Amino acid sequence: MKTLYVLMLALLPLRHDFHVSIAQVDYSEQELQCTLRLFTADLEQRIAADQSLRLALGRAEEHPQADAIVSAFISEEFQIENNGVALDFEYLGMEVDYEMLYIHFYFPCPEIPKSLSVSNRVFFDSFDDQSNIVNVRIEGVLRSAFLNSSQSAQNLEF
Amino acid sequence: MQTFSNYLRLGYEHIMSIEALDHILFVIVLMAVYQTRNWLRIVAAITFFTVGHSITLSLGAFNIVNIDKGIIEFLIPLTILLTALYNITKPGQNQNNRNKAWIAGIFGLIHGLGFSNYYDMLVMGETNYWQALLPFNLGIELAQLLLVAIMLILMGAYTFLLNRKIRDWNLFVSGAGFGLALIMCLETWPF
Repeated sequence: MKTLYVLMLALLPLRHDFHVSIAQVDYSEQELQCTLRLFTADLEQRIAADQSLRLALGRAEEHPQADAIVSAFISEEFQIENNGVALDFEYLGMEVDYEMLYIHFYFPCPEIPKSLSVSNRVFFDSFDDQSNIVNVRIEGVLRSAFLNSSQSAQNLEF
Repeated sequence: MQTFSNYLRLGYEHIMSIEALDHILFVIVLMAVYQTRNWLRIVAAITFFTVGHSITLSLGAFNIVNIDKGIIEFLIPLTILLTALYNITKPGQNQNNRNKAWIAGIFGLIHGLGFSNYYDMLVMGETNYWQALLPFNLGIELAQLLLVAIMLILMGAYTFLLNRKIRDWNLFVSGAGFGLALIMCLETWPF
């Protein structure tokens, strides 16, 4: 009986987590300026699992290299190609707002892009049901990519 | 339109997932007493439920709802448990009882509290309420209505093909819902 109870508990998902990240990308001053929103706890868990590091973002005991660690992680997962050419990732900083983390970075891009390939694989290895939305606005035109583990990159035409 | 459909999909996929068992279970138990021909009453109750949790989700913008998470995680299965119990009472089985929709709406408010951190994620900068929250909520409603359609087919098969009474169906579904909700309540017991 006890085994049955434990088995039932194991099958019941008790927390209905929201496995989502959303990025806002705006073209301005010859840069694709990005703000990526994700849940602070998701990132801290991921870094703890991958590198055995405790980030403690926004707290007194925050890891001294937190910015470098986050920058390295995001630059691996978030990429933009303009006409097939990968753009350079430039990290700016991050803000912690309670459960949310806002990460700011940009990709230099001297010419107004007509066709972009955006890829955001953040947390695809952490959660099966992770979805990442990337909204890109160029010269007033808004395009949006819906990315998940079966489609981690998408072309956007402007 | 691309952003609209993406947020719609996000809401839809959020419900059409095994992780959303609490949400799915509530919808299934809520509609257990109804016959197929009363489908419009089911749709009304489900819509009240969606409106209820959309309201508390939107309140996240003002940070005015600040209830302990542990309490909310307990209250959500409690709404399923109470709905299942109501289904075996006489007024609960009355298919013309309009209170069902109001109960769904109020319980929806509680389910929406579990979405407290969704608002900050969904709404920022260029994406506003109409571009993000509205399609997200519509996606949730769409998923729930699809679930209703699937359950109506199963219920129809049970009552018409097997020639069984809806009362037996209700007892089976509400009983199963009660059992699952009870385990979830015990597991999230905050006191």
